[in-house]
Amino acid sequence: MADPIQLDPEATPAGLRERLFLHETLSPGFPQYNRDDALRVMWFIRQVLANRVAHPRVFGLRSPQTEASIITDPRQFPGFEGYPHLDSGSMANVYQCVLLANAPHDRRQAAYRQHVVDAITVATAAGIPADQRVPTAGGWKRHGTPSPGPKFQFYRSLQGNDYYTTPLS
Amino acid sequence: MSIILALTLASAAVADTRWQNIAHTPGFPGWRTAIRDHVQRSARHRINHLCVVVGRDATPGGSATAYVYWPEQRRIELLSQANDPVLSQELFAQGPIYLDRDIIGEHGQTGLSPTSVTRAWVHQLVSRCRATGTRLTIVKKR
Repeated sequence: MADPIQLDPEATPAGLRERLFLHETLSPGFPQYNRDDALRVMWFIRQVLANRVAHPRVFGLRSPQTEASIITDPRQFPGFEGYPHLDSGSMANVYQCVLLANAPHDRRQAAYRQHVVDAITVATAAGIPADQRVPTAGGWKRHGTPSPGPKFQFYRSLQGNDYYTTPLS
Repeated sequence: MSIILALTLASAAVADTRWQNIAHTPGFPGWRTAIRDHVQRSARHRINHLCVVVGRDATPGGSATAYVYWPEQRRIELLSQANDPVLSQELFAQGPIYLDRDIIGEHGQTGLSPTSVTRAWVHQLVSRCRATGTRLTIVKKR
C-alpha cells in the first residue's frame, strides 16, 4: 500500500500554491477532466502568479507584492482571503482531492493521487518547463463570464475557464 | 417532498443564437435533477425561485454554459456541458458567482478574479433568462 500523500504545510509557499491549484483545477471526478489539461492549468496559474509578483502595476496592483498577498487578495482569488481558513466550497474542493488520494478502497484513488502529486510537483518545481511556459499569462475567468479587460487577450479555454494573456510592459 | 413548478418559456426558446433554453440544448444530462439536488443541499431558504438559461459561444460549434440565477442564495451557478450522463453534482464543475462579492463595477475592466463580473453583465443575464430561460420554484425539504 502506498504511503499517504500530504500537501505541504499551509504556512509554506508551496502549501498555498498546492491548495490554489487543487481549488482552481477540475479534479478527476469530473467527466471533463484530462490530466494534460489539468497540468497546463496548474502551470498557467503558476506563471500568472509570477507575472503578478514581477509586474504588479500591469495588473493594477500596488507594489511590492508576494504570491501570498496576491492569492489572499479577495479581488484576485475569492475564497482564499481568510487563508489558511478557506470557505466551505473551497475547502471541500481541496480536501476531497486529498481524501480520495488516500482512500485505498476507492476506485478513484489512483487518479486522485496522481492529481495531488501533479499539484505538488507544479507547486514545488524550481521553474516552469519550456513546453508549459506562457510568458504573458495574465489571468483566467470562468468560461462564459466577461474578459478581465481590454488589455487582456483570449488565449484558450480549458476545464471550464477562459485563459488570457496580457502585455507585461 | 420537493415541489417543482417549471414554466418553460418555449416561444422564446432559441430566438437568440447566443442564449438558449436548456431544454433545447444537448449536453446537460439530468440538469433538472442536478439543480434540485443542489438546492436541497445548499439552500438557506425554504422557497427558492431559480432561472436557468444557456449561453453559447458565438463561434461555430462553440461550447455552452448553463447559468442558474438563484436570487435567494445571492448567486449564479455555472453548469458545464457534459457529453455523458454524470452524477448530478458533477455538472457543477466550477464555483458560483456570488452576487454580493463578485460584482465589481459597471464598465471597463471586470477584474483579476476568475469570478468577478460587472453589474451590467448580471443584468443582461437575468434579462435574457427571463425572456428565454426556464424558471423553477424549488421547495427545500425540512
